[in-house]
Amino acid sequence: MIYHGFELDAPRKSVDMLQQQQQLTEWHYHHCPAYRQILDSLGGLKNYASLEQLPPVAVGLFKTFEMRSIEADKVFRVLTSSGTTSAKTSRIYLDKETAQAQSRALVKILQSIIGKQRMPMLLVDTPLPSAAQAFTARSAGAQGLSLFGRNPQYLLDENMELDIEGFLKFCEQHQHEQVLLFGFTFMVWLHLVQVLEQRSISVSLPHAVLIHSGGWKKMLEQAVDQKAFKEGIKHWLGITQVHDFYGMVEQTGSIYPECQYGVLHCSDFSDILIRDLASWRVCQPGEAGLIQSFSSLPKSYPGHNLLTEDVGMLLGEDDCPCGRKGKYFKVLGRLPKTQQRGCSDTYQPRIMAP
Amino acid sequence: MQLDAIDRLFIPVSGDVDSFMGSSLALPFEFSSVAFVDQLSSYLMAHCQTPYPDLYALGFWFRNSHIKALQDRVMARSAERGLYAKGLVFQIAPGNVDTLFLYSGLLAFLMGNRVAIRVSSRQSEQFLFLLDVLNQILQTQPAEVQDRWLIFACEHDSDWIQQLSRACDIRVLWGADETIQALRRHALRPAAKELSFAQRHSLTLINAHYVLTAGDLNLALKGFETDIFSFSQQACSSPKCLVWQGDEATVTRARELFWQAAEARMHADQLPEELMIKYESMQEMAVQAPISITQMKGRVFRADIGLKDLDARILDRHPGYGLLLEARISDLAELPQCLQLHYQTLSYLGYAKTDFFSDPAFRHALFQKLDRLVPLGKANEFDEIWDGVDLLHEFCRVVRIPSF
Repeated sequence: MIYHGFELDAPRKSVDMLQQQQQLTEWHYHHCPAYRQILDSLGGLKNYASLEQLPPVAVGLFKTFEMRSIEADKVFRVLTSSGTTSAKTSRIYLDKETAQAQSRALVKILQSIIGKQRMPMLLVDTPLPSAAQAFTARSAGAQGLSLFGRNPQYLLDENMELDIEGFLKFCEQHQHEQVLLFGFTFMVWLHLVQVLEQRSISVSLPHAVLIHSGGWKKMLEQAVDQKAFKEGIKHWLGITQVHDFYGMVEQTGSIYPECQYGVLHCSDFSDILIRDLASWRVCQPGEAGLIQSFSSLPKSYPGHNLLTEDVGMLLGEDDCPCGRKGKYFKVLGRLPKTQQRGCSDTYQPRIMAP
Repeated sequence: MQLDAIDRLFIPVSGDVDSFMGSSLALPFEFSSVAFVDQLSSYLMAHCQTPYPDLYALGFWFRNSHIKALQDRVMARSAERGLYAKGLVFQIAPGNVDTLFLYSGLLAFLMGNRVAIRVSSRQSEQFLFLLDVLNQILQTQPAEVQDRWLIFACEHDSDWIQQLSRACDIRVLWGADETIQALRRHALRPAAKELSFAQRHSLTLINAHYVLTAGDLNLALKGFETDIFSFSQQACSSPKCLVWQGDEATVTRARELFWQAAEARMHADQLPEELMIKYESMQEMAVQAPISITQMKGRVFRADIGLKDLDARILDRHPGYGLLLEARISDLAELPQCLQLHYQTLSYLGYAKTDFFSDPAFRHALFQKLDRLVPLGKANEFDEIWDGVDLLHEFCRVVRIPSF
């Protein structure tokens, strides 16, 4: 089976991705002063012979500096990380072109998981804020997904309370058809699964697909791993098609979806390298290291090649039984924070540059 | 004292804060005070060399002969004056150097004061071990020693900080600039005094010619490692910049030799999150100033910078954990005018006393920019003269006595 958006095998992918990355690197070098300074500190712009040679920007820089490659008056939307676990938030500057490229890629990637038809949809979230300027990763994700739904319905009110009657009515109505549920992992667990468990209500949505995303940190704090999550979903909601995806606000659109075999996939819009930081060596499959994430989408900000704070492991390339081409991998967790710098105390957050 | 709940009261274990507030002061270097410090020092030297080298260093610093030397130095100046304890010394210690609170605490104690210390809520295993030792030895001491100690952890807006600020005779603040500003909301009595040790930066100076001609570099490298790896390179006295002195060709050769030898000695072990923060900070620095990155992996990340571009904006982004900015000057005489801020410590390799002291104009210019000059390897050693302040002097009261 051929999946659109996951068609390029290694020989073609390496050529395509390198060419796109070279172009994006040149573009951002000439349009983003902060990015230019970083590249200059490494010897300036070069012709890179492989993906490995392209220097990634540390993802934290989007929290510290205004990193953009467009004039201020071309900014169409500013995405911010939802910032539930960190005091600092990333700010990602989008123009119309990059925003469109992101939603097109997102649609293509999700179609490979849930097909092309639009289906009744539930969002395990609160209704979107009306202000269009400041978008969080959460609201952008929900909005992207809602393109797949007919009459998307929000399950939570502003106090994060589940609309249980509305939910049960929806389940009864759509029991025998395909439906789509979307939410952030922790919210699905806390505000849906656990609420059903407390009230001992189980429902059956055997044809439903659940797409979820967001870090596992809070889940693991409650001792809920991927397996327990899936079991809980199956038991209380009767849903067996559950797909996580890995992504970051700094690379919205080119997300890494989980296939039916439980692994995360690079799409034609993205690629990864796993790095051993001490030696800067690229890790072998099966070896844990930091995820370096490439995306061919970002043009309005230099987010095309990032060193993330996530630890991952490459599992293989082009040969996942699901049929998708490209690398597949898993995420093992996030690096812990280091202790604060300077003769300082835990009391004050670090002061940020303007 | 009526107080709200705090994070933790470490000393006294009895929780009897009133005994502390009512305890009597001792004379400077009174026998019971010296005996207590001596016991603590002997214990740390006997038990800590391997697991906790920082605690061994603390014990060594307060060894008996050194206390005697301190006493002699203080007493030498007291011929026509009476020296007495100041009273209540209240210290707020930083989290990055978890033995510092006790260095200045013990000095204040030796001078006869009551010592109250608020420690960081970030408590390492080494720190807890030290407090445990301190507690156990204190239990065996007479009341006049025991009752003069109060050690606790609390939030910065706690009642404890407010009340001790109001009660103390001298308040000693160690910390980041913004921490110190925040703590200053708590007023002192009009007659009380404050010492503040704010964020400072330090550097190392190496004579390139010396490196090329010295022969065996191992001793120098050991000192270098002690300077940059102690306290995760996060102390104010940890060098963050390495200045090479010599002409370009000499420096190039010396650097090559030095780093080759240094890297052969270093352990590569480092936590990935520490490597990550170094990677990120290096890029932050690149956005702030023109630097040229020469090493972006391994134990010590490195970048070249012009000494005149090195300012507080760059140094405040330094994360510790092994990262050096390298600069070059041709002549030692250039150094003072190249330094863009007032540094705390300069540790040096390959110079003699005359290099710094024979020219009074140079010496004057240099010490406008520095508080401390030490040989390589001694940057993080505690000194009773710190950031230009003589702590023993600050911790006592000088009484004018007539010559009858």
